Amino acid sequence: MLPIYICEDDVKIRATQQELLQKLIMIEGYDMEIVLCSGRPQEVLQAVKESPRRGIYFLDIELKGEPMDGFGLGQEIRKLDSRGFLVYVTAFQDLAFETFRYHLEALDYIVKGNPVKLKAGIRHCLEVITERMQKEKGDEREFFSVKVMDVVKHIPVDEIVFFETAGRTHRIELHALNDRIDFIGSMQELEEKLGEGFLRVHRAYLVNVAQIAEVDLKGREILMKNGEKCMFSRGMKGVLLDKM
Amino acid sequence: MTFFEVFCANILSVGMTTIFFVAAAIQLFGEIPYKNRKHCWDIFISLMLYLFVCVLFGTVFFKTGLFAWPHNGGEIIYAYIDIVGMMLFLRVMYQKPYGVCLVTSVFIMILHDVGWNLAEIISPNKFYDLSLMSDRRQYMFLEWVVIPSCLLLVILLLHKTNARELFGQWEEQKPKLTVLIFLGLYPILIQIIQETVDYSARDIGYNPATAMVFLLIVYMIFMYTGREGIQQKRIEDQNVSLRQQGAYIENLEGLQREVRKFRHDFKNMMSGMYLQAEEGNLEAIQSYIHEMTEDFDLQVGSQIRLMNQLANIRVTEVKGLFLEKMKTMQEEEIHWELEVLKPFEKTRIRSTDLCRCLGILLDNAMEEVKGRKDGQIHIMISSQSGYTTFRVKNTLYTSLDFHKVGTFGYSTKGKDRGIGLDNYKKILGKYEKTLPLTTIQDGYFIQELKIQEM
Repeated sequence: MLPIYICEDDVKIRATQQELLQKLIMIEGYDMEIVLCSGRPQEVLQAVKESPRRGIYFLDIELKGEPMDGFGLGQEIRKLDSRGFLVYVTAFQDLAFETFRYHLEALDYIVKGNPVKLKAGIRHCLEVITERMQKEKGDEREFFSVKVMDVVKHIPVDEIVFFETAGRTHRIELHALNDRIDFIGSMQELEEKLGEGFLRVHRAYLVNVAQIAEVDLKGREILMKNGEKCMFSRGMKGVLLDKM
Repeated sequence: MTFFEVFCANILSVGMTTIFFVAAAIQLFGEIPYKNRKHCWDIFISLMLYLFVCVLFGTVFFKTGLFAWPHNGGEIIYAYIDIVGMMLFLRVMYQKPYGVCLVTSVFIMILHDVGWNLAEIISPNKFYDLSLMSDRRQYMFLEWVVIPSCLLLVILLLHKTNARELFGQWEEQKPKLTVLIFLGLYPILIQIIQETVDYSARDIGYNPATAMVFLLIVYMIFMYTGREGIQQKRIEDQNVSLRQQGAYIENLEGLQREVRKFRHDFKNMMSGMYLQAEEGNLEAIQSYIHEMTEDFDLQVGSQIRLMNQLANIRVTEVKGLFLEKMKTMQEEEIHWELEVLKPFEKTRIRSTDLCRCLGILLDNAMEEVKGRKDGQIHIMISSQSGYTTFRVKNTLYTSLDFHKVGTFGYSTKGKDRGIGLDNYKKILGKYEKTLPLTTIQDGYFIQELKIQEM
């Protein structure tokens, strides 16, 4: 059962939202329930703290008379519920939604001025959420999470090609099929964290064995499936041959 | 020589000096004031008075031996009489405030000394015995040819270097009391400096004062170039704000056009609504209202929104860059959006470097979507909790060898390209705690630049 929280300072709209949600849950038979409807962010946070579960949050952005706005509330919620679904309900279209998505991994936003749109938006969100939940059940894909300054990036492990130490201390470059990320970390820790599928072929390289295309024993180079090349140290020859 | 003889001789030499003074004053103030006959007469009278007083005092000082006082005491007193006299004369002539007149008078005095010293440099270093014919001839030549030509040279220099403009600029600001006092002490100070230089001179053809003078010159050069730099920056800032205002006005005009268009539609809708209302068709009215609000958001909202976001960029150089790119994108009809949720006030990276980096990212994005109808560029600047993130996201059309992006010479745009991102990495390489990220996601190419500010 997914708990739903609503934080909205306008009593009327709050009531409309609640009603719409209740109807939708009943009609569609979703496995969700409204736990809290409030105009005060602190109350929402308190409730989440008391029963930390993955939840759905419909949050207003401008909360009049409160010390926290929707963005701040989202940040606090993320600390408690990293996988919850954040949906922003706003009166204005000039919302910096990409920023919300970037920092809070917000799911979507709904414009509340128009009841028809509000209804359609809520319906759409619930559909997306159920779809995602189902997908996650079937999907056993493993993700590698890495903190890059103030955000966390999730990269499917099978897409990672290799890690390389950059010239600077503790800086590591992640080469993936669709990502290139620089971050601060240690190769040793990565090696331990990623386990079997990865091989430290060189002091500077940690490669995904599944991504190896060819090994050039003479030139001591590994050609990866995406066309990039990594060096390997002499001692790794035997291990590499074993793995191939 | 009798008192009268000295007096007459003095009239000639002081007269020459006076002509120089007047010429210099005209060069500095840049005009010969002529109001009416009376004013002209006043000038003439006061000039004569000045000449007479100077000559009289000069003769008295000479005769009483005041000029022979130690430390040039007599000369200093005489210089003050000269300065005050000149100041009063300038006051009569130009009717400027006393402060300005004083400074001008001292400045002219300095110029005179410079001219005089110039003549001294070229003339032989000796005492003339005026009873000898050859010496007398030399002396006359020095007194009546060399010195006047040197003074003329100074006047010419004033004219050529456009001293008038500089002086005019200075004159506009009110002279400060400290400056007045400092310049007022000129005759005394010059004596002190002279004695220090003399005192510190060494036998071995070396004088420490030269190093001091040189230091002063270097210092002045530094001051000058420094000020020039500051001025340059100020001009750039002004240019940016001008461009910004231009863009703002353009935007407002666009907004006005949209509003006018909307007003036209609005009238039509109103009359439609009125008919529906007459029939009591509530649903139709509701849908009308929805349409109207949506139209408004669509037509007018986006412009307002963009300006709001731009206003949150508080780093002038970055704002300037965006304004410039905004113009190009508008010209090329590229659809773009900007998000700056919280004010972006400052960053650790030097703004020139940051602008170069952002410029590269933006140019790349613009090139990719240029000429495509559904192309989009989304820019996000986010600064909070000690981190700044720049994110440029654009629709991706060309397939690219992802791992080669950013290596020198690789580009999807053909040969001789692909230097941009390579440069970008080099610039970032100079800074610690800056991380570049590249992602392809859902048909978008995303470049991120993250900076840790603390």
